[in-house]
Amino acid sequence: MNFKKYIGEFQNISGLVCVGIAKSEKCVEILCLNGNIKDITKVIEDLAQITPEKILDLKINNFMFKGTTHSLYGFLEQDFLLILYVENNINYNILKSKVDNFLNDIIIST
Amino acid sequence: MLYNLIVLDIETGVSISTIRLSEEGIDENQGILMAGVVKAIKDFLENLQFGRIKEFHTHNKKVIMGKKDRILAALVCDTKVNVDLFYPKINSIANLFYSKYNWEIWDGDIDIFDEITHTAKQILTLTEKEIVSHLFKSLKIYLSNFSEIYGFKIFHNYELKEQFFKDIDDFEISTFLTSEFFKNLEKNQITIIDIISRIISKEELTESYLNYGRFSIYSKKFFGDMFVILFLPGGLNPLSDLPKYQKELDLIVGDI
Repeated sequence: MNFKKYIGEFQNISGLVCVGIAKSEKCVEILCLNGNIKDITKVIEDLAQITPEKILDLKINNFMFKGTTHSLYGFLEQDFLLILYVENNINYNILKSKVDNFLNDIIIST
Repeated sequence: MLYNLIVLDIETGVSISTIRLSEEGIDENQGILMAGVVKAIKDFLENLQFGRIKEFHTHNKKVIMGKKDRILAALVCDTKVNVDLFYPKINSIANLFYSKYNWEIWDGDIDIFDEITHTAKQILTLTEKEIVSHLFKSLKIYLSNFSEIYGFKIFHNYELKEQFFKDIDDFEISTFLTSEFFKNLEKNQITIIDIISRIISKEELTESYLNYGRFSIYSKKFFGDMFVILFLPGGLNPLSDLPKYQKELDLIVGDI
């Protein structure tokens, strides 16, 4: 799959800090749009520890963690994990539409 | 938010004490004026035979009043503040001021009230028990509005304080919900929650949502170290389905 293309779909969303896709204990694609790249890379590296396998063990389909200014979302489809690190004031309708498109494409492509 | 507590002698109209409860509260000089306004509004409404006045609202504030004989205590606060929680406390404060002094021989000296003012502030602070009890009652009503919610737990300092579950037909879900899984949250930190918490440790984690497929768990932290866990159906999308639960919970917490 051309993940670069899918991830590029998130590019114009204001408030999106970082989007990544993880599979089999590693991050296969990252797009950082804001913030300190080093910080974000660390986030994604740490997130890669939460592999789809581990999430499947925990039987988690998706998750959300909200901090005072930023939130972290994860969506599992097949064995891909879509990770979104966003500002809390992001437009959630736009974000949801992009996430839905991505997850649908994963289902069709795999 | 609580702004001021104003105590006045309604026989003489003298303002006995203006306690500032937050930065936004008025100072003592304005408190004297405010005491006059509170007394005037109260007298006016009662003269119109509205009966005993417990509270009145302005467009963005509320005044909750308690009375003991000639002593009137008035709490100026946000309109969201729960009257049922604070009305008994305000009555206690009025009672405290009334019983502490012999008002027949009071010479108008307000300096003698310094100590009692401190006690009044303490009375206004909600205890953990009061907060949990109010949350428990409010959440049970909340559950009746959302039939799909299985139940809730209230924790303080990682200790379970209250919980409530509806009768659930599904054996798997009911077994999990009543299991020891959440008994010690500290131990369960070594899970996905722990990993993710560390990732965004630069900021305080205020909410979390984990969807286990057949059911999901949403937790919200507030008042520092207290949090509520809601047990919801599985299959919810955190981007689109969660906000309605978040909004309602915010209203309940805001009420306190």
